[in-house]
Amino acid sequence: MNPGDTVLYSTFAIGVSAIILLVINQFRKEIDVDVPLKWMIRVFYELLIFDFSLLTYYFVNTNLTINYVWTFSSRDLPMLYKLSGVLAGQQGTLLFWALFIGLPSLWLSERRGSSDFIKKTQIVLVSLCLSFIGLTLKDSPFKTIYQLYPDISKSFVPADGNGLNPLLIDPWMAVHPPIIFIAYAAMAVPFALAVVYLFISLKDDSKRVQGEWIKDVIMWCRISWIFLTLGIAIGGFWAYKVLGWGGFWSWDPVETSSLVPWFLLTGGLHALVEHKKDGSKYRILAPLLVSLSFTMVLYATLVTRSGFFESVHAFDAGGTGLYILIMTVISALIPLTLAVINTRTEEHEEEKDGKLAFVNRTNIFYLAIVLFVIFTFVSFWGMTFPAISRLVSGNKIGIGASFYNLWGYPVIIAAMLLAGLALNYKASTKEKSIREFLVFLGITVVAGFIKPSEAWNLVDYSAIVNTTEPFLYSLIGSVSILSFIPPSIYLVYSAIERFKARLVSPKKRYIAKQLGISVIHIGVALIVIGSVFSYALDSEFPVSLNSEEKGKLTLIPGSPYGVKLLGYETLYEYKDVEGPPTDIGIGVGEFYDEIHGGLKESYTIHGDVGEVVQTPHNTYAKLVDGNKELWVATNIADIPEGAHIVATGSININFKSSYLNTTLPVLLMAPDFDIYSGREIFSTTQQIKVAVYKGRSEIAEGIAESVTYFNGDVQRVMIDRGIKGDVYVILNGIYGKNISLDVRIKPLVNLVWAGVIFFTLGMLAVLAFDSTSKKRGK
Amino acid sequence: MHPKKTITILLAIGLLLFVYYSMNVSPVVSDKRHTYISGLSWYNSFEEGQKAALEQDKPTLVYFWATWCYICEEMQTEVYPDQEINKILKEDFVLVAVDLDINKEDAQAFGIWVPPAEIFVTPEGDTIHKIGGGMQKEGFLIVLKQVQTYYENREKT
Repeated sequence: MNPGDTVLYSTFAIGVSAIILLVINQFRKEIDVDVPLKWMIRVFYELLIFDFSLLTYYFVNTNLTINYVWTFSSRDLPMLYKLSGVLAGQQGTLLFWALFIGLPSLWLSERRGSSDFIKKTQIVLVSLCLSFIGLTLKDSPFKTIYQLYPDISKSFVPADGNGLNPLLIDPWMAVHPPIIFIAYAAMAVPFALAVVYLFISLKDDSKRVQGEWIKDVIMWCRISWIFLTLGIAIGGFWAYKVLGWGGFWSWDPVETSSLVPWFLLTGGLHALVEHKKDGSKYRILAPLLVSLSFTMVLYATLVTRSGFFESVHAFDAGGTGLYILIMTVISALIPLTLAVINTRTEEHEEEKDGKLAFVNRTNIFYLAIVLFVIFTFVSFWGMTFPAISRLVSGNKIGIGASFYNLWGYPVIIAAMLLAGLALNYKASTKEKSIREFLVFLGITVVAGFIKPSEAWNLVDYSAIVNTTEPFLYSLIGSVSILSFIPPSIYLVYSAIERFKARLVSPKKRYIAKQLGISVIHIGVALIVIGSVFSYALDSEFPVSLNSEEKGKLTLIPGSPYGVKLLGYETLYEYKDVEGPPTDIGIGVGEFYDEIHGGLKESYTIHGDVGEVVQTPHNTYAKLVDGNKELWVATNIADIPEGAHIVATGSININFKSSYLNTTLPVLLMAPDFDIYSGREIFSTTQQIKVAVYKGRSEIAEGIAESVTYFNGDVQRVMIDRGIKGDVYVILNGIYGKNISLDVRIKPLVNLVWAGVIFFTLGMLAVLAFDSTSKKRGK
Repeated sequence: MHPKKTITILLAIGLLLFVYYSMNVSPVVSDKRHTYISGLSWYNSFEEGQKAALEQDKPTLVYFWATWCYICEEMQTEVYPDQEINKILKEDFVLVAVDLDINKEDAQAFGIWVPPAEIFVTPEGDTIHKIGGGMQKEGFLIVLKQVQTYYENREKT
């Protein structure tokens, strides 16, 4: 067995022992397991680190005898992308996942390992970690090519690896997978805490662990939320930059699958906040949402990795799909069953505050959580239902972006209006709050009818593939996107009002946290406005330029825009390749040793080209081997100096060349001539420099490229970012003199990225200044 | 009734209605052999398309797409349904639609990573023209006619 697998098996064994110890402790509390347990988890985790480092080391050194490295890397990749190769396939990802479930497990063990609540949590957490180690072992990334292909000779080392998919050669793509996988793994902690809490609630002594549970679960939910938000956003940012279709979100099943846990987690966080204030509220719902969001993470993995749901993202199947499916089902059934049993003991408390009694904090919050659940379900259904249909009938169902846009619309509008009400809601000024809400609701409805042009329709009617629109779809689809503006304004206004009201507090930490909450909600408005308007109001213009007309402004018909070509060139990037196969023919030195016995009719000789002389009919190349020289004549032109060649032909002694005006002592006349150049083209880049004009004034300038790698092409678009929007230029290609471009104008798209930054900074503030984390030490 | 209960019951009914409705109105885009885009019938596999192309002596348009692809929607709603384009495609071309999510084999064989893409091929399998991305209908019509001219001249020689 290889060293990686050996360590992995030991890790697995230690993990199993830790679980046995934990379970024994549950039944025989008098046995003190704290110290051995602590050490077991330390060793367990250190072995995991060792294993992951070993895999990374294989990639850094491009150890091509490891099948996983050979599949996803190559010698000439820059170091950053060698590292991203570790997470390019399923096996490395599963190990990474185990590592990051192990990390919080270690953290919990070190800090509060002796708490019974934490011990119970560890049972779940370590089991999850072991499941992933098990999956890794099933199809190990440490397998050598000799293990997988027993026929290969033990001395064979592949010349080079398959390399990384060129679309993934981008710095944002190097950080997207680790961030999203850290988020996914971190969500195992709230899952474990929530399941244990639901379990303890069965015996109705959840109050005993209330303080402990809420502190941990909220913190880990927030940490996961930050990583998940960033992970999704970076994926979108990369798509915008690299995929070259001017969008960052296409509702493909994998994107959607990452959004499903995000919605559920966000809903769960809202429930947790209420639960924290009053332990009897959402005693079941909060842990249920939190744990199911991890279930949805497993489901996302199923979607991404199993090939069960088709999507461009769905990499390789690897046969682990079934196991992940089983894990998904189990992780859904456990919390659901616990929750159902728990509902028998739930008490209902009615909040009474006079007139309009149904409008109260509790109900508003509950409605908000329900909206998160609805959006989760719509997204979940949109990606699941076509797969079911394909499995059952073999028919493919056309569910595209418009499905999500149509169904998401009422939910998003309702959620934003409701958030506006909730953020600024006070029982004492209830009537004023309701009045404001109704005013904004009214303006929203009116705005839904105002359309400056057809582009303002929520959905282009004809947008669904090959069908007439069902009534409900065309109804929602014809709503004006202007209706997103009033709820956004309301949301921002309420968030600011809320913060102003909190400013009176003398506690600085409290104010900082409240600022965070307001900032996050303002971020919602930014993201909604940015994504809706950048999609609906973007305009695209195909442009064709003549490569000989540099500096000439080409106007785009039917638009105020024009394009000027500032320059173009083709660039090559080379990589070193291995020398000639040394088993073909003989070296120059060997040749001179051999000819003492007399000349043969034909020789195959290999060597390095030291000097090249070109004549009208022939090319003369001088092979140099130490102090021995040999000239080779061939009819192949353009032999690069320094190249390795293999030539076969007959030997001429004292050959007089009239062109060279000299006598060559030994000349190989070689009609059969192979060049093994010392380098080979790694990528070819067509690059143009253009300026985009609006009317007579330049609005953007930059470089757009179309790059061809040995394993695929990729467009590197020009993006000139601005507050009003982006100018986005795609170089489709250069065909002769014809340069084919697409110019896109994307209004307001940067609001989306600003919103993501608001989300992140806001949540960091909430995390850092939360009063519960301060109390932790006591 | 308790408002939370009311909301929950409404939620359950709403979700069921949504499931029922969305299942009923969603269009079938493809079955095992054909894909139905823009009122045209496309072969799902390149191999089957090529067989038909040889029989009918027509060039093949291989269209690479995905259900979630934004520009594909534009192609399918603005370019292919255009009267003139639709007629030419129907009469003079054999059509193959490669769904990148399903037919990975053909996508890989043509080296297409990102939808949309359109490749024109002779029945012998030679590439006539390759478009990476979407096009406006005016430009696409010109390309179609060029491909047709090329194809006719190719036969004369």
